[in-house]
Amino acid sequence: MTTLASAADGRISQLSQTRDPVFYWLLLMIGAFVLFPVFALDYGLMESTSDELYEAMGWSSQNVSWLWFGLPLLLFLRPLHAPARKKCRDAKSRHWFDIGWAGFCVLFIVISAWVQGTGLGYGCILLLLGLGAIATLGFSRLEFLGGDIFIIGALISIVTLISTFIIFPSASIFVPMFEGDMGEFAPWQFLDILGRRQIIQIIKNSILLGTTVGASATFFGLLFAIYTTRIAKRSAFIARIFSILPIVTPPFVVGLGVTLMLGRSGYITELMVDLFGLTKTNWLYGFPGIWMAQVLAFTPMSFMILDGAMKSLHPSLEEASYTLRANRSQTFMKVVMPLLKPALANSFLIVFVQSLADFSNPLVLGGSFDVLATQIYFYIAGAQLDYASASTLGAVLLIFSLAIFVIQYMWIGKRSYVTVSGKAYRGDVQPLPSFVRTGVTAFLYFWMAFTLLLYGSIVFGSFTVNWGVDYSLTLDNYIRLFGLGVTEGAWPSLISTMTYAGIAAPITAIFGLLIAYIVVRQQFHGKKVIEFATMLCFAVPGTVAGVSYILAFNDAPIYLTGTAAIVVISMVMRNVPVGIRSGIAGLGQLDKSLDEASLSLRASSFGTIIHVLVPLLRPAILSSLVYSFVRAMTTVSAIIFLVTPETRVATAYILNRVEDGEYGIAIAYGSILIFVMMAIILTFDRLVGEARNARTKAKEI
Amino acid sequence: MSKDSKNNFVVLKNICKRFGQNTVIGDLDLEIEKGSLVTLLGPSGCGKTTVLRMVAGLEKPTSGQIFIDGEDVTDRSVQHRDICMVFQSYALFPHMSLYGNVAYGLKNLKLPADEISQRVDDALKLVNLEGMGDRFVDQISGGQQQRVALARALVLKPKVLLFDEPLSNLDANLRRSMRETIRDLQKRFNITSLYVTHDQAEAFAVSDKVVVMKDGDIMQQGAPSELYQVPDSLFMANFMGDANIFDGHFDGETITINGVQVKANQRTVESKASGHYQVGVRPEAITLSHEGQPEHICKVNKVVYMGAMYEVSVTWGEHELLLQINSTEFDTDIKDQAYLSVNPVGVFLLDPVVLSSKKVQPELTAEVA
Repeated sequence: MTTLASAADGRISQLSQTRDPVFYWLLLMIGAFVLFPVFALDYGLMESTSDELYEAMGWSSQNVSWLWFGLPLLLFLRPLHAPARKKCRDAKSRHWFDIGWAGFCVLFIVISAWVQGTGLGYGCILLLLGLGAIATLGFSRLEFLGGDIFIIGALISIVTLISTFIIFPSASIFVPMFEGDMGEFAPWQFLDILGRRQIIQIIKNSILLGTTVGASATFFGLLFAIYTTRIAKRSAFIARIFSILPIVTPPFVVGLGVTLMLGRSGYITELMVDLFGLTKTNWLYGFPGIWMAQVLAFTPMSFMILDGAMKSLHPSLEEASYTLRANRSQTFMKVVMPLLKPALANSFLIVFVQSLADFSNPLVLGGSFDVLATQIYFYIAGAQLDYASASTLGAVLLIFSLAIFVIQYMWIGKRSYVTVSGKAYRGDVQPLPSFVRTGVTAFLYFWMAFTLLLYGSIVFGSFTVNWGVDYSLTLDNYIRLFGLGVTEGAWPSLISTMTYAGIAAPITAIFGLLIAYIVVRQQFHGKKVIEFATMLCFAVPGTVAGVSYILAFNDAPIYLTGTAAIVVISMVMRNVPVGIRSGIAGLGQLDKSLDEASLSLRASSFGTIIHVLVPLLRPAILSSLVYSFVRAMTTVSAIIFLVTPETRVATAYILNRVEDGEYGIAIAYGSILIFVMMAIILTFDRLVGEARNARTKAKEI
Repeated sequence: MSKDSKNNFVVLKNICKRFGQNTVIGDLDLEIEKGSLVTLLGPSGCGKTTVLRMVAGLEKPTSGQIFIDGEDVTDRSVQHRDICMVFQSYALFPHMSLYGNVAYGLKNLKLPADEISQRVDDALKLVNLEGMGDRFVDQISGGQQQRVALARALVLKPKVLLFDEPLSNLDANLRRSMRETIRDLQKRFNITSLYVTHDQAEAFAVSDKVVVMKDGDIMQQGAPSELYQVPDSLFMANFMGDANIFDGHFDGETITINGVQVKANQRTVESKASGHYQVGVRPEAITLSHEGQPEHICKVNKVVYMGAMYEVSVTWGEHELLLQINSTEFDTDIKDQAYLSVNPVGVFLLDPVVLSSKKVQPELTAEVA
């Protein structure tokens, strides 16, 4: 044994006669210090003068950055060669020291930059990257996660990104709450704010709206789910429309469409006036209008949840109930409903949160009915800049959403008898009584007709001179948007939207897939925490995310406000759940033994992802690319806080038109966006479909 | 240790595996000789697959050490253990051709292209799939997929080959020919192998040594014939087939059960001291005839035709016995009463019995039936 062991030792030590990679990372840091500005530039790399650039260099003066880059160099004191595998164990304290020192340096950099009020520059990105790499090497040598460098590196990056861009901003929204006008500590200020009559009314409004919309959307969603699972034979079409429409509809458009139909000068209103002699009122503006627009917008979501749940109910359960002498209504109340309860609760909670977070519909249709999301916006973008109140309301909104998220996670997460992703049973179920069938079908047709009318009026409205006043057709709106050259009208915002979404989409897809891979395929302590933190992205309402970003990144140490980077980062972080979800769904369909086979055939885990998982997950990756692109284009609530005139995106442009009362231009832009996104999704569907066909053909040969 | 490790190519020492609070493997030692095929056999949930996956490096033992070829590989990841594995689901990559699947490991080793193609062609030929390298996984049958999986593992010439229930997805006929293929190739290349199955016939057909596991412990290990003929516990006697259990006496040469003397077989004489024992008799070791001594007389309760054999249940003294008699040898005239005779090969001794002249626990005999 001893002879064998020493022979093995010899082989390993031969392999490890390479320089310890830690040295290269340290050299990278020195290079970064010399070549890149370590402090933030106020006007970006391209726009700064050479003096500003010189000042931002760490070596240009005596400052704290010498310490930032100097401290890690302590790690130069180490053996020249990477430790042999076998000796790793003996050098445990060495690795722990590496990790600890890297962590200490990171803390030191962040805290000292914060205390000094200096923003971190490009050089610091490389510095932090190097420190992360050194920690990764340390953990890998300690044989964490099987010593797999790629997995450890990915994990460290995920934790860093999530804590920087989700947890840190979410926490910083609580700061101005306790800060008085002069920046002094005011611990009870938020009580004053919450005690204001107006604010209490706003919170009441939001909760009233959320519960009514949640209940209505769930009820309608259930009706449609009953239709698709129990009445119609071919229901894929409806499910498809319901899944596409909400994604491709830009914000404000539904609200504006409802106005065109039912507003004071809407054509249905006119019709009612002519037919029944009713008087025109502003009944739409306020609770009824927002309710209608939100129910239209969120019913598809609750339909998707309930449809999945109903499909996974095995018909034999109902049949068993009938054979046990239960009649239809008993079966429905005692068997079907209890089994659907988690899905119903889930749908209600999700819609409730969505309604709270919705910004665009209340803005268009709210009238004097203020809700949390709009009020936060007014506090920051309006005449009365009031960070303390915005922060307090943001905190209230965030706490509501988090509480509901936790309820879902703890309660529904555990008690889901009916899994949404479960197997679909479409056996022969007992037909419903005919009055239910007719009722549900009639309602569905009414809904479809209304939707058709709504989208029709949006398109038609975009071609009219002035809705309600002058219905003559004109191309004026489009000319003002797109006919004045690429530097005027909508072009700059459309181009920047496409660019930002184009940059954000691949990052979202890769990041999402990586998280999905780590969560689904790796086992380690604290995995639940990572899972929980990533799902937190779902829970933070857009408005809160936007406010928290300006609060968090407007100051040292991370100074990003006003840049395109913060817009892209916000798009990525808002949509990463889409990537995670499609990654988890895709990985769930791949047998784990494929990964294991690849690993046992000497592939690294990175190689396994590239050569085995990515090719097999291509449809899932493509779909998350497309959907995160489209969603990035329509995102509004977080973005409006972050854009500047230079980085204005399409939704912000529409918002400005709405605020200026130029509804024609707003809906014209909206229609264009609908068509563009529809085209993208349909093209993508066809591509995936063709790929699938090609594959089945290949099988037949 | 140094001497042992020459023979014992794969060594598991004091292996313990817990998933959370749940202890799957208590404290397990196992040795595999170079070039031999060892099978882990046991009911589902006994931990056999966990042991295999720990050897593979797909699970990490909570404590204990694993050696392959004298090297401690406990902390080494799966890529660096020089093992290959044939998976239950085959785990063939559906987006690659058969050639791509077999070449995958060689490509990861960064071998030159011509060597790769040579070795892949050889490997495909070895499993009778020459010329099919262009096909995709969904274009070939289950048996062919199994052979691709085998070729993909063999082509790397690993130190240890691991099989995780490789035949469970095949139908009965194919299973028989595949297990012969596996055994042939394993012997031809003298590859040290660890094989997991819950099928006793399969285990016996392929193995040099069978290790029977239950609840994370090794119950007994040895050559197939040894396990069947000399099970060393009641569990083993029943797991390896049916057994009729008696209280009996062994005097160094003959075993007395129910007043009948049976000559002890060679293995028993060599390994057991005389005394009172629990005695097991295999159902196929008892035959019935029309004449014999009065102490051999028994009452026939039920005769069930099973095709290859008859299953007969008889009452002998106070014992209810199960007999399996070859269809070609059973006298169908036998009705209510018959005389039985016992073949020594099918008789084995279990635990010594402390003489208090108690009956055998009734539930154990019930288990036999």
